[in-house]
Amino acid sequence: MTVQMDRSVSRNEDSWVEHRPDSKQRSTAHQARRDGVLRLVLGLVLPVGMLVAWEISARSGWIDARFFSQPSAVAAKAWEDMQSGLLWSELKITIVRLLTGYVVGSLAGILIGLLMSQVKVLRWMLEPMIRALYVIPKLALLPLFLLLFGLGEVPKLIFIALGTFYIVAFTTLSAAMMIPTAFHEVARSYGLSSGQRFRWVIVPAITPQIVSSLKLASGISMLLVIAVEFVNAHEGLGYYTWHAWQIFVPDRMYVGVVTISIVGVLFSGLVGLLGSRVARWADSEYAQSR
Amino acid sequence: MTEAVRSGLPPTGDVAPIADKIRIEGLSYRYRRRGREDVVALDDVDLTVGRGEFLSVAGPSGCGKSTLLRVLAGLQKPTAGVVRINRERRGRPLVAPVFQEYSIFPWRSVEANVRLGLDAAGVDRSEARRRSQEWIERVGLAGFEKALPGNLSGGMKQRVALARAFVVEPEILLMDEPFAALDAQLRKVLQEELLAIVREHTYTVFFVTHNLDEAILLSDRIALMSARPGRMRRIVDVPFARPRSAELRKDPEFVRLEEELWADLKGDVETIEEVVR
Ligand SMILES: Nc1ncnc2c1ncn2[C@@H]1O[C@H](COP(=O)(O)OP(=O)(O)OP(=O)(O)O)[C@@H](O)[C@H]1O
Ligand SMILES: [Mg+2]
Repeated sequence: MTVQMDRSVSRNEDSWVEHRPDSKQRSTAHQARRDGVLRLVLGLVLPVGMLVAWEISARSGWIDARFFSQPSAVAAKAWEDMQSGLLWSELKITIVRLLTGYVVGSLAGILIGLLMSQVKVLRWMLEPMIRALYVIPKLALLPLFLLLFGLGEVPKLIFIALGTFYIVAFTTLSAAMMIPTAFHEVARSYGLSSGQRFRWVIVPAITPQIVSSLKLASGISMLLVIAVEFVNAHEGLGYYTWHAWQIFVPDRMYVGVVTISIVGVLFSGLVGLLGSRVARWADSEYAQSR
Repeated sequence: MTEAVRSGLPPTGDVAPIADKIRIEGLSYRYRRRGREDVVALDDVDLTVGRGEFLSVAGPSGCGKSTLLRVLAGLQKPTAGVVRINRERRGRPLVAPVFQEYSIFPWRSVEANVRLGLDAAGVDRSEARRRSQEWIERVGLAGFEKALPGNLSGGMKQRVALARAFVVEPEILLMDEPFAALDAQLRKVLQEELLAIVREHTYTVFFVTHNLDEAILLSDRIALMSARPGRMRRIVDVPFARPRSAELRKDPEFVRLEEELWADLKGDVETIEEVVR
């Protein structure tokens, strides 16, 4: 390098890095609303486009409408089954199964998870088994289940509950085991009884994780309900869909698929909505990640 | 809170002008680690803290100050030696720690965090509210009673932890760098506040700090520790009379003492007269 300084180079290197409010922060309520609308529209582009393409393909004979049906026919079928009440009764049965299994499984999961976290003997006894079963897809156990419990309504509910139970129990246990030592030390130092520690430290500390496991479980329990109804039921949305396929009424099959999706989305959304109210503090604590 | 209390002291021991509050004898603490050798955090520490005394502990990072405090709090059992703490009164909490990492509960509001010890002791709700409100104001958090810790700055959280300790009026305050997260002004305000609080309530204070200026201003004695393994290196009397004020900093003796301690901490001073009381 030469000793002489090249002035132009040094001037080029001298620049400013600026941090200004980003456009998101500056945006007014108006702009936020516009963003919302744009998001909705963009989100609809693909599904609507696909529906249109599907309808056009069927009408112009590019695909065989006998197999693949077409949106207008599916809509007509949906209307028909709603009029006759068939769809509603199937829907009701599925929802009852879903809710019963889910609620029982969740409650049992939270309870057992908490018990395991507090009682060492119980933890050492149950944890290996839960850990092992956790990794097996619950669906793989369905045949065994049918063998063990037969074909009644209760085994179905147990199966759905079990799928929820594993996730919730496992998450509850892990969360309770990972409460920072510092919190336990505060509890000890400030003289909390074990009951107080449970109510004021353990339960609130793990609530955010329990809520997220409940969200996760809501999707899985939906899956399990439908799976059980596919193979082993004479009513419910799963049966409705599967049966339509077996007797070859593709229109009805699509009605089933769409209804199942809607129920699944609504159910997860509902759980998420209720969940976000339970642990408000976590919003401000973990806000950075949003 | 009673973990660290041992009874059975002989009524008459060596003549002590002030009654002893904490006696630490031959205390060692090793952190056991699986598959690796133990960390000796404290090695054969002897220390006595008098009733109503303000004792500061200073020393290089990692020398075992927090470990010592946690043993005093009864959160960790000594691996050798014994800690005796004299209990004067049943019903008043023996110790209340202020932790280095504040450890306030993010799911409790500021007010509920401050109230924790009172709630645990079953203090009447309106009484508990009144007392915690008083302390929230004294640490300068008025207006933030309902705020959640997630929305507070580090210094504010630390003040919540301070109020939480003060409100239970323990016999001994254990404070682990309680002002570390505060800015210079606030630090001064709270130092003076602490001087006042200690005067009012005759607390015994065990105060861990990195800040020698703070240690000299507040304490009756300062214990300097050496690192790895953590030992008591030297205990210094702070000769200034109480009540003290921040004006003391200008005293030439104050400046001299601070320089001396600095030199010592840096390891420049090889031999020093042990001023063990
Ligand atoms: N949980 C632990 N497991 C193993 N070693 C530990 C543990 N906690 C502390 N130590 C070790 O013990 C020693 C003393 O730690 P301690 O936290 O008491 O230091 P300190 O004096 O408070 O330091 P600082 O001023 O940085 O807070 C350190 O060397 C540290 O590595
Ligand atoms: Mg420390």
